Parts: sequence; C-alpha cells; structure tokens
Amino acid sequence: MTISYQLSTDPADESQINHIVKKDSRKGGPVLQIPLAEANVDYQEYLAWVADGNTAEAADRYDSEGNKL
Amino acid sequence: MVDLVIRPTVGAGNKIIIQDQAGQPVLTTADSGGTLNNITGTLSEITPGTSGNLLTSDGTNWASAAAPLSVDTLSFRNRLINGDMQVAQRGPLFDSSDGNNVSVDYTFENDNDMYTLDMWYILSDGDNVIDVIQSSEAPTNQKYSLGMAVSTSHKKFGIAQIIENADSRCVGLIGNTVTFSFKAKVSATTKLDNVKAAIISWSGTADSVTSDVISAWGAEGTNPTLIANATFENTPVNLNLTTSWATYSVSGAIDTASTSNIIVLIWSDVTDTTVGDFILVTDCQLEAGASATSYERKGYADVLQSCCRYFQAIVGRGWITGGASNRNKEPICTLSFRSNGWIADGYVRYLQTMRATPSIKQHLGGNTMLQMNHSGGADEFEDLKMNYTGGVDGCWVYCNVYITGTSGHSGPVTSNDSSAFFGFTAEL
Repeated sequence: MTISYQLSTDPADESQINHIVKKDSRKGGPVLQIPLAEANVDYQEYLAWVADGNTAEAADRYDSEGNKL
Repeated sequence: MVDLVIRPTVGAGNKIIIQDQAGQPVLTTADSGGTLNNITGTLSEITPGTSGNLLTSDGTNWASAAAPLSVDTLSFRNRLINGDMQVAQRGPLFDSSDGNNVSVDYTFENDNDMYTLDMWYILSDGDNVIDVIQSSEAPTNQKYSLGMAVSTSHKKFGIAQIIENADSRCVGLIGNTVTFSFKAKVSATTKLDNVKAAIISWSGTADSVTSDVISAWGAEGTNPTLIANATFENTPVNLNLTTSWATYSVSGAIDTASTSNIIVLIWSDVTDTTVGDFILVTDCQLEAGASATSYERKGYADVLQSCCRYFQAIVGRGWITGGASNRNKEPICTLSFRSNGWIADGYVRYLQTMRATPSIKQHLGGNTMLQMNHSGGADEFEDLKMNYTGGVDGCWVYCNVYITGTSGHSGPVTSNDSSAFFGFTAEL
C-alpha cells in the first residue's frame, strides 16, 4: 500500500488550494477529498505525512478551455 | 359507623403517637399483626436517611437508600451513541469485499481500524479478522445487535467507540468513576471463552485520538498493550460470556491526568478462534457512577441525528435522463452554471452540523459515473470535487470535468448505481 496526496485548487482560482486528494495505490487512485481543516483527522494525518518529509503532488492545471495541462 | 377521628385540639401538641411498650411505632389491624391497606393522606416521614437519598421499596417495606445517580444524570446518562446498533448508514455488512464502505483507505471493508455500524470501529490483530454485521438477533423485544464473526482464525479482535470531548459527552465522566455496560452472547464458549471489556482514557490532544489504541495484542489471555496516551481505567478480566443474552459491566475511575477522551472496547482475548465463531453485542452504555443502570434507549431518528455529527451518507440513486418521469429518482445535489462555460457547481447542505469539516468519499459502485442532466445534455463525469469554504454545515462541490452549459441553467447529479452514495466523514 502506498499512500500519497495531491493538492487540488479552486477551479476558478488556481492559486487557491481548497482541498487535498488522498490516493491509495491499492485502490488505483483517489480515495478521499480532505479539507484544510485542523479538526479533521484526515488532515491531521496529512500534516503528519508531510512532517515525515513527504511532499504532495502539485495540483492539476487547466487551460482556459478546461483542458488538463 | 361514622369515621373515628383522633385529633388533638388543645395545647401545643399536634401529633398522634402510637408506640408499643418498647417505644417502637406500631400500627396494625390485629394483635397477630395484620396489614394496613388503603392508607391515604400524606406520609410525612419514613426513615429520612441522608440528604440525596431516594425512597425505595424491596417489595415488602419502604426505606431510604442512596441515590444511584445524581438528578442531573437521570437523562443523558448514556454517553455512547448508537449503543443499540440501530444506525448503519454505511450498510449492514462489512466483510472482505470491496463494496459499499466509505472510509479513508482500506483493503477490505473489515480492516483493522475501520468504521462499521455508525460510531463503532474494528480493532483487530490484522485486517479481515472479523466480519461485522448489523444482526437482527437481539435480546427479547429488541431490534439489533452488532455481530463480530471470525473470518480469520486465531486472532484477537474487538469493537470500540471514542467519546468526543468537544460535545460535552465526557463531562461528568472524567475524574469520576464510570461504568460501561452491554448485553452480549457468544455463538459457543468452546473457543470464545475469554471476552473482556475496557474503559480507556486518552490523554493526548482532545478529539485528536489515535483510534487504533492497541500497540500489541499480546498472548492469549494477556491484556493488550496500549499506545502512548492510552490507559486502561479498569482492570480487564474475563467476563465469561455465555450463549445466552446477559448484561455485563465494568467500572473504573477516570483518574489519568489530562484525560481528554474516553474509549470503550469489547474484545475477544483468545487466539485459537475458529472461522464462523461470533460475538453479538448490543445496548452498550457508558455512564457516570459505579453501577450500571438500564439502557437509555432512544428512537432511530434521535440516534441518527447524533450519528450524523460524525458521518453522513447522502445517496444519489437512479440515472436521471430528463423529464418529469424521473422525479422519483434521488439526486445527490443540483449543480448550476453561474456563467457560460465550463464549470457547474452547487452546494450540499449537511443533514446535521458536523463535528469538524468532513472529508468526502464518493462511492459510485463498479464502473459507474456521475451524470448531470441539464438543458445542454446529460453529461457524465467521474468525480464531484469539493470546493471548500471550511464549513461544518455544508460544502460547495463542482464536477471534475468541464461541461458546456448556459449560465443560469442547472441540473440534478445522480449515479446509475443503486448503492452509490457520498460519505461525509468527521469521525474521530
């Protein structure tokens, strides 16, 4: 099992991270959308994961037509 | 004859005193000692006892006795939620399939540290050790129990619930003696001959509990070793469960310094189990005091509302292809185009204010998609993405692909899988 995280931006403002996507290799992709909320235990796990020296993937980016870059 | 009235009318005295020669009060219907029935009026004094005592009866005599509970705990006695296992928003079965469960990450639905029936999560020595089921096998005149059926032999297993600090459920418990009670039975005592229960304090950060409180399960009959910040507040012993329903209880003082949360745990402490062996548990109650009282039962709606503070499942079943004939379907939410172009978003209002801003897990079943049906067509997409504003009452969501739509137009979002739902989880 490999857990990883990817940042996700506001579609109307790509400078704004609005949640984190948790990925699980066993499931082949995203398993959870995590808010940036300190009381959320999944966010706490994410922060611990980062504190262990890990880095989340950058958010996907899109062009003006909505195509993924 | 007319009534016989004996009533002082003169002097300071205002009592009628009836005593035998030894000075003891005697009021009887015959020398042989008859029973006085139909006494009316006000009984002014029956051995008053001490402050706070209650009037009790043993079936023969009245007496005063110490109150088992303070008045303020006559309600809100049970600090556990869903103790009678009636709410199962995720579904009634958790086994090694990869089905309806909504959780963070897992191999099987019945992994260690996975939530099952609302509020209850598995603690086991590995994954897929037990199947958990909402069972209709329950004590007389009751509806449900939680069944733990062995799916992998020779492992210790149990279920647990964490009591939140922030919503006052720990008030009156921390610093005092508490009692954890439950009804239970086992399929056979051949193997499941050592079931224990524990009251565990958590002295780490409040409501930031490491839910898997077991550091090492240990040998058969040896109580598990807990993780840091977790402490047994009773000395767990074999409760000797039988194949018949019975009530069991354990008590302990929550006296660990800096306790912020409490966890209850029921587990099998044997390591020679057989696949198919099972334990049934219901009517779990954690309360202040050194003795168990009757289970504080609540209706389904009340329990569901409490559960929704921690987990909510919003269903969206039935592919809506347009038109009034599809109004019998259940959309997850409605998205709208707020400008011409590529994004449609909408707001999902939670059924209940949640403990914390929840994570979202969408379960669409196998190979299914979401669909938004709007004036421009029926567009399919894989994900509803959260677009958080940090709320505990609801969240904005949007579709993860860019659908061409017209500003002001909207449409319902559904899945074509009958088991699809969105899980919003803020569990501890």
